[in-house]
Amino acid sequence: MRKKSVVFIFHRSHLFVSLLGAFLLFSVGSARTVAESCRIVDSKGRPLPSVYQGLKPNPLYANHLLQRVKWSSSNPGGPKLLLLTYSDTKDVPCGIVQASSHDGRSRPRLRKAQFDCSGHYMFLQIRPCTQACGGGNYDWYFSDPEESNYLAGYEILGDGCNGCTLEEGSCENGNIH
Amino acid sequence: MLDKFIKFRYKRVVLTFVWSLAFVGSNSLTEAQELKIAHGDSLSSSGLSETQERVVFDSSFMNGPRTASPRWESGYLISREIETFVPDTPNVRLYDKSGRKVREASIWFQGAQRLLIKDAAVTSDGRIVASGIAEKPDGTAAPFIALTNLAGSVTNVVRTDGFYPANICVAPDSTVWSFGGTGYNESNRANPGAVLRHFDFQKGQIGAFISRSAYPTSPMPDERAFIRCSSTQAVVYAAQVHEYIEMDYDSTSPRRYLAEVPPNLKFDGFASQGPKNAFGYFANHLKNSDPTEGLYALVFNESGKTARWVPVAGAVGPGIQSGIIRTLWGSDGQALVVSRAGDPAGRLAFHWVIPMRQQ
Repeated sequence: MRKKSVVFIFHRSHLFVSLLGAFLLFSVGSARTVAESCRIVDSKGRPLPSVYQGLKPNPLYANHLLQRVKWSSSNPGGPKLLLLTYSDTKDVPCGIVQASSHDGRSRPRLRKAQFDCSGHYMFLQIRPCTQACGGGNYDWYFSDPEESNYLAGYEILGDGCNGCTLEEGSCENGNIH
Repeated sequence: MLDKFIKFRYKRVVLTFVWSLAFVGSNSLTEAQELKIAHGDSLSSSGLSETQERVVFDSSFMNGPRTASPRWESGYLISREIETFVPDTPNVRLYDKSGRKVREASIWFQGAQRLLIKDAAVTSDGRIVASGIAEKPDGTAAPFIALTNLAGSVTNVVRTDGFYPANICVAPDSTVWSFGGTGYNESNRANPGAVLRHFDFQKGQIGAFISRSAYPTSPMPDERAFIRCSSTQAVVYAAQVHEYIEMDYDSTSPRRYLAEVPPNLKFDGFASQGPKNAFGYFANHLKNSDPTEGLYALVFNESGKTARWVPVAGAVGPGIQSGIIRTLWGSDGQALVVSRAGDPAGRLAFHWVIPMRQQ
């Protein structure tokens, strides 16, 4: 009976220490991202309690973001698969193809993806090619709310990074830029 | 062996680059100009002093899962992850001149599902500044510019309300200049507003210049654009809309120049060394041995309000040709920070080269 009590007390104290540790760890972790003294203002310099204060949700963009998050969680290492949006002509609905990206010099493989037209939300970012691909840069388009209502398609330009990946170009209103 | 190669290849070598007259044409401001680039040790005979060594950087600066092309600024190489889905994930990293990572920040906002980091810069005292968009699961998107302390924690944020700060730089007074976008409405027209803006972390937006309506609906002017801050001005090159912009800090109106991109090339790197002293790196992403790839300098025609990218002779050529500049990371004082073809360490090897125009 006494032994049981000791064990119980040990468990309680252990639990307390664990919770305290978790709290401290959480506190430190939070401090690394947004300091407690962080001050957020809007464009007129007025203090905001949250960076989202007063902004409206966008269901269209939310749907796309969900797809993007799902894709990301299944590809935690990043661009082993590149998402590329392909548009033959402006009359053909755009769809996404996925291209494998690798460090070798063989051509990437292509296959159809599950969802359509997410390229409407994309924004160009320049990314570095890997060392094994000879350096240089390539263009990659990321979903972005800046273009959330802007209907644009994208075209695969061809091999980038010496054949290690594919480069994507914007195709807006049927014209390639 | 490697040391010997480097000593032979890069130290105590003076290369003289002459801007090609063939590209200069009849522009009155483009008489024969000489650009000398020095590598390695002191070059007292030419009046150039260059003490920086070749430095091989920690490869992590470009090996993240979603790393954007980094840039050199204020004594640091700035590397960023474009997308972050999880809190406490480092998404901006700084590397010093030794090539080692010295600081990082994990920028995140409570309630976010994804954080986009569009650009990152650094203050004169080494604090990270980042611009991007915080996105909630319901599609709420908050564009922001964030300032961190030296520990990498966010201390100040400006929500940029209707302005997407795609490109940023930090002025000497720690205010932030941004060349960005205004988004699109439901009719697919660009929202009204200025594309060049000035922000203060206490006062919010303190300046707005150049209307979005000055540019076509597409392409977006803030894509493939770079902005750099010097001691006296902010400078932008927006390749999609072929425009070079100088904005003096004490001015109320920017100077704008039409500056076309060289044919078949893409704008991949930018450095400004003061008024009308800009360099760009242009590459052909789809053709490995394009002889027109490399380092270019802007030459101005003030009367026509135009500028022209002129290849720096000796710094332009097929990417496989040893010594050709393959990447322009940025500017470091009087030097340009570059990577060069033929180096055994590839792009991980950084070189400090000094351009000097002689007219």
